[in-house]
Amino acid sequence: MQNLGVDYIIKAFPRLLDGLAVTIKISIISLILSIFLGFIIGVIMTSKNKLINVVLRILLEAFRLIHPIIWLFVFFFGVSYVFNIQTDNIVVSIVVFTLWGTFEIGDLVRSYIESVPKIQFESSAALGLSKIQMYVYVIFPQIIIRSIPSIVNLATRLIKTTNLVFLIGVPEVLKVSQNIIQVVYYSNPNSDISFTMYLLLLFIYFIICYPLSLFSKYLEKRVSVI
Amino acid sequence: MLLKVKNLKKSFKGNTVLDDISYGVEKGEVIAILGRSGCGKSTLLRCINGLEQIEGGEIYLNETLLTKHNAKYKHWSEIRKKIAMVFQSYDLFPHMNVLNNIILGPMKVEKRSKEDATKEALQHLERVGLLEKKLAYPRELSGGQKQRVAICRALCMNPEIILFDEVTAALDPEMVREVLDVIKGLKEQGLTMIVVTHEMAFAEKVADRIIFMEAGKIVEINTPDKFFHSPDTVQARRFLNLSEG
Repeated sequence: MQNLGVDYIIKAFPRLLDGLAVTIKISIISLILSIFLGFIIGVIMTSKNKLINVVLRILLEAFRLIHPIIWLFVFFFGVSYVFNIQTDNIVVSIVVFTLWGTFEIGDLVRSYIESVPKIQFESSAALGLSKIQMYVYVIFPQIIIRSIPSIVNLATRLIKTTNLVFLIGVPEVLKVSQNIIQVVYYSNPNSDISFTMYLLLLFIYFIICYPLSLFSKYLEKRVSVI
Repeated sequence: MLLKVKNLKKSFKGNTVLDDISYGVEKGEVIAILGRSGCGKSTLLRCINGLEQIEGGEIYLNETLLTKHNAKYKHWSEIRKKIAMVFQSYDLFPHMNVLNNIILGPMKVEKRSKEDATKEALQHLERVGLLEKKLAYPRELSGGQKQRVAICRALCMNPEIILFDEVTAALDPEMVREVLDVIKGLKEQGLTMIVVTHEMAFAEKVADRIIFMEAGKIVEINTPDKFFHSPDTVQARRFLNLSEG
């Protein structure tokens, strides 16, 4: 039992929680910003202006195709080099994931806006609603329901990919757990703590992601039938 | 003259959809626009509240010029408070119940209080016989009920003129009657209305004047009595399947 390293994990648990807090903080902030900005970008993407469309399409593909690792490095080291400032690794993480999430949600929102019957736009306009009122009171409420599954899917992918931020030095939960394992190995080369640790991490990620998917199903059911 | 349309021209992808259209509507008048599908009657209606941009001509409401070249959305928002429109289908907001559908406009556009808007909304609902459906959602209503709610929604904005764009075209026959009865009731209240419709009997009973269109032009303007029984033009006769000459 001692070889499983449970007591080491218990002792190091606060550190694990700190790491988890960082992971969750980056994920949540990025997600909320992405949803907010994503809807705005989605509306802009429905514009008939060719230039805007081309630019946004390029940005969308850039953040979708190029792996977040590369963007993390580009922003963290690149910005620091070009502007001669010390970049904050957590801020960079949030910026990169927000950009990624914003464009994904933006493309999603754009396609949903285009699927709303044109009459809805026309009858809102005929009522005298301003464009913002039309989107806020009529169009977005109809889209939000439909976009919930995809947003939750993005949230889980975000939480999993956040792990990469350790590459720019952020003490997120996976890296912290590896540190703990290495420290234990140093004094206990035969320890099976890695087994227990990754089992624990599996459990932790499941506890975080499963309620999200249940919540998504609950929301879908509550506001279905539109 | 409440509404005046002068030399309206509109093309779509090179095709002339409206060709030099001119007519006037007096306050309290009910005009029925008749014609075959594709003759431009819906387009004409939609030009009046700015849903379609025109390429030539002018529209005046109460002697004020409505149409502006390259007008922005905001320009028409003001005008739409006075010119309401009811569509053929799918125009109720599906995520709101009947009452909220009706009070959204008055509250957000005219900045009226919720109590004030609700009171008026309930009055309109009662008059069309749908008071008990005030908290129902559009998906729970029949087509005829939905259209009656849509009419209440337009009425709550207290417009000067209401446009009806083939509002019974998508309804089953038994529901057509209930909607047309509502429109007839509005005429008795003195509302100015322009109705694009296929329902000939209704047009004959309710309209003060008939505007008959063909291929983007106004072919004949006449009283219902004369139009349906002895129209002036050959095209009208053909349209109504009357014997020619």
